[in-house]
Amino acid sequence: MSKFKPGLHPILIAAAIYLALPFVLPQFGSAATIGTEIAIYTLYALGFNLLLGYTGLVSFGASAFFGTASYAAGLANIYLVQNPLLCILLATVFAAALGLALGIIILRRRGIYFSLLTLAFTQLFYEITFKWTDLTGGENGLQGVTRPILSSNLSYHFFVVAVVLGGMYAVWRIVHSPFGRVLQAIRDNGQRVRCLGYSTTRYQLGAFVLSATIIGLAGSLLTFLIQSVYADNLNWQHAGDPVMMTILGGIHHFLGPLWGSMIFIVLSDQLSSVTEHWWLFFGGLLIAFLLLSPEGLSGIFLRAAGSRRWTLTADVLPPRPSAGAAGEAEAGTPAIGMILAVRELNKSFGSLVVAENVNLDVRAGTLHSLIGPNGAGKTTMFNMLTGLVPSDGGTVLFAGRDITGQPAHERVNGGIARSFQIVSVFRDLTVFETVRIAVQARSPFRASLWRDAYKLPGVNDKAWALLASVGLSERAGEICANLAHGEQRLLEIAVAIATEPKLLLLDEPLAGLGDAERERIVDLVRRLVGQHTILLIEHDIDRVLSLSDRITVLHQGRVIAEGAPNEIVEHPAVMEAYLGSGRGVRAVETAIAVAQKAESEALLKLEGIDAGYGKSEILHDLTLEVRPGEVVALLGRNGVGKTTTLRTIAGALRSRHGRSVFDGVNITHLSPDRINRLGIAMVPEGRRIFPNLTVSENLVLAARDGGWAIADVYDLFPRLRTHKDARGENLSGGERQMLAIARALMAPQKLILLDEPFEGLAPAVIDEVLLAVERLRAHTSMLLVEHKIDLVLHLAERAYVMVNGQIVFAGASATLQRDTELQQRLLGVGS
Amino acid sequence: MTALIISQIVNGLVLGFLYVLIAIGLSIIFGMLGVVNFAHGVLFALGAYFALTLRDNVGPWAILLAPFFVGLVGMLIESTLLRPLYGKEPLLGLFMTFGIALFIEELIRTLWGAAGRPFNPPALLSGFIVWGPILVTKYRLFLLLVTATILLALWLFLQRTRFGRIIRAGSRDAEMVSLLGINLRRVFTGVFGLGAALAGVAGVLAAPLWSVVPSMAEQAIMPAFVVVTIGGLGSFGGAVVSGLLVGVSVALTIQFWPAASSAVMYALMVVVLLVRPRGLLGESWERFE
Repeated sequence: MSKFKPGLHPILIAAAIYLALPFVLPQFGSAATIGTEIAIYTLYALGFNLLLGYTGLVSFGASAFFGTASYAAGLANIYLVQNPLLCILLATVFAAALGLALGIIILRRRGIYFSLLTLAFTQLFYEITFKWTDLTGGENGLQGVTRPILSSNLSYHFFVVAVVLGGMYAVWRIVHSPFGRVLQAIRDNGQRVRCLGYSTTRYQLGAFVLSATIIGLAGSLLTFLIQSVYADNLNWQHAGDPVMMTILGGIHHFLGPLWGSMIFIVLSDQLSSVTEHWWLFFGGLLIAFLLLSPEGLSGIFLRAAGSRRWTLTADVLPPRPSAGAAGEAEAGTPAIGMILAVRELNKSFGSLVVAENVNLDVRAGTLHSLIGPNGAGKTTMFNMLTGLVPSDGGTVLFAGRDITGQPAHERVNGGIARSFQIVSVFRDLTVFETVRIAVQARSPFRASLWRDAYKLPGVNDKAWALLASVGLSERAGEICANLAHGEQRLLEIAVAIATEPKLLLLDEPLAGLGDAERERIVDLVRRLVGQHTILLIEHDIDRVLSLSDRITVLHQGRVIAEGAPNEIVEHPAVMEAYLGSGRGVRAVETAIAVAQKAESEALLKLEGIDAGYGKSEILHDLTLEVRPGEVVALLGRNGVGKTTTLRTIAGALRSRHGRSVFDGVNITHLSPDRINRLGIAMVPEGRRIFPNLTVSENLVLAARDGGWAIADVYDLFPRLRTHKDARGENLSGGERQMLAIARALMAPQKLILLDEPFEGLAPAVIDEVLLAVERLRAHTSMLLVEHKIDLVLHLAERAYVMVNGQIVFAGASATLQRDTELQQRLLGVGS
Repeated sequence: MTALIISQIVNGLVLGFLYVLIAIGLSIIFGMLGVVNFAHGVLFALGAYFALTLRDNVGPWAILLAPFFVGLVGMLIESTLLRPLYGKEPLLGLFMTFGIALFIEELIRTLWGAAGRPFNPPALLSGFIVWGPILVTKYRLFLLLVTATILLALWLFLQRTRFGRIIRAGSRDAEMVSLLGINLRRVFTGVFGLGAALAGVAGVLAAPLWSVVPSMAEQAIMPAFVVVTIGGLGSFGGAVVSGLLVGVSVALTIQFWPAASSAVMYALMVVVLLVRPRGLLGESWERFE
């Protein structure tokens, strides 16, 4: 039997407490039957927590099952058969059937809608029960339930304890079973579980039915304790009882329901003799716990013992096989020939075309990379290949078979796996469990309710082997949330190869990593090629060039080049896509006086900035400055951290290290609104105008004293005047861009941050916007992010170029403009 | 028979407008803060109770002061109890409003007693009006006019004032609002206060219709959830349409099938959630699915 960390099995702890209660409680003035109630309510809360703590479903339906099963047991006793055991059995079966019927209906919806549906059904049941007085006795409840056997309080108590302990043991087995393990993974990341090939709705339905059954069992036990049934338990306020018990006891702890029900029952019993307003105390207690100890009493116990880990399951790992027994992941026979053939794939989101007649051939055993200057298109390609997003046309052939219409989980089972751009592991599971769940997906016992998941034949060994192959064996027992970003990325890949794929899709596996960690991932990828075919999306061009056998370049949804790395480097279409052609762009007066500006004090100064999202590191030791009256360009390929830099300056992202000073004020940890009021305005990526407000409302919202007058803004952008009453969502891309820039002018500003202002605009519109930006130069300083250098180098006096989160070039833009080889290397595809 | 139906429909509209008023505060809080406010029902009840107490002291001013005080209570709740939970697990906020609801309802019971208290409308508004086949109480008519006016004023507030614009913008992109120099913390507190005050107004207005009793909180919160779900989370128009729909349905059911009158709104809610979960006029927001 799996052991609990402190050494004592939780069932034994519960047993000891239940057996002691009828003798201890009278010492404190409570009736001995309170002990029986505690046992019953523990089961009730445990059934509820099976859904909440283990599966992540917030259901207000617990009281519906509790109440209806109580009635079923009572009615059976009165009308059918007096034997309480049979009535309890009938009621429990009834609860299970009801759970199945309701679950099938309710689980069609997720998230808040799921919760609201459970609330609606609970109220519905309450109303029916309350009003159907002939059957249920209405307000007076059902009286006259008899208990011919087990008639003494003590004997009934021991009976209930036996049943409750049995129920608790059943739940313990279930949560350690393959089925139960999947529930916990669903709680953390349902989509990932689906991508592993599990049918999550069925598992959730199973959990729902089990929960209903256990809660129903508890309800029927209550009927025979108090020998009556009341509709009260179905009222929506009592729907909160299990919620309260679970929070007080600890949502993420197996014995949480026990502590919670003890507090709840004992306190309400004790306090109700002192004052009739004991709910004040409970409400206050709940609030206090939520603020101070969200993991309830269990959280307090554990912190006192020095641990913060959850105790939903026993905290042990299966033994690691000795070195040599399972060194590397088992090698399968490598495939040969074309493993993936994509023909004429098309996809648009409204007017945005992300794929246009894309053809792609990937040879088995090779590493094929997918690169391109802008972001859109490549991840969508992966989504289409894995079946997460349907294509608008075209075919996908995998290992010779047409998989174009296949649903996602079938493709996984067929041998395609992927890792995600944003790390998508199971936050609160251990590293070992994360990989094991992925391996379990292919086991015939993956839905078993009763086996111990850690004893499935072959699964553990395979999991350990996978961890060894990515170098994470030493971290097996750690919770995923505590891993460093690089380790999480390694884990991502381990999970992807756990399903034994023939084709592995890796989506930006290097994003957010420092140099050393990138090398680790690159080593792993090199080892994987050959046994697996790899399709890679990456922005780290140097590494892409050194790793790839073949490269396909996507630009605005179309394939513009395809070939070996050395062919791509010299390909004119690729150069043009990354660096621009310099044609068709209106030349700006090039009389730019750089010299004078160099003397003045910096307006904005960033020094040594480190920043990232979550555990990732995107900016490393970033240093740059903008002087008054300057336009400075911040250039770099996609994914290097340009937007992150702007967001950090604006205060939307907190830096971990370093300083930013603006106009003499240290703005490093100020909130975004304060930074804006100091004079930094943001024209963000994607424009982010308010779609439900009109043009003039968008402008007026941003207006403050000292900013531009709205009439002047309309002079700068006459189109906005024409559309001033149009809602934001009805504007074209160019108009939105103009609105976003105009909005930034409405409040006084000394520095405007522009994030890719020409993105997605037609050439004619680019001209208009460019003209406006030129006119702004006289009024304000600008820091302009772009990857199309030809547009920007005419405007900006100075330029910075970023690679992998660091500044690698700082100097006059004229210098960069002349040095095409440097441009190729830093911004294009060059080595 | 037709006269009966028409009268009931009128009653239903009155009830409906009241439901809309209750639900709209919930919807605004939902849209801006993303919080499911289980405490909305007790804020409604507080409105009635404050009015009851204030009436003895300040007479008719109670009607204006009571919602104002409820708004203050709301702002206090948001800034001290909800703010610490922003950015943490979203469930905590939901459970917190639930805990607050429990606490305040019991507080009401403690301070004012559990017995129902009558709240008589001023003499001016007592009595009936007969208009052809339609029979309606003066108070109900007054209620109809007042709630309609309040809703219109609220709509104008959202459309024409600065704060209203901030609310509308913030419900789509709160971060961008802060990047424009607007202090989001204060906005959140203000919005919660506004939602609470709206619940308070509804409580004051409902007091003469439903007796003032602690459990009136539940009579408000459940219909509010139903209306907001049917109408669509975050939609003003949706709340109005669905509130009236639910009000009329309940009123007609009371007349023709009284036992089912309370159940009908839940049945309606279930049907909508299954067929069109984003509601009649709501938008499809991933954060709710």
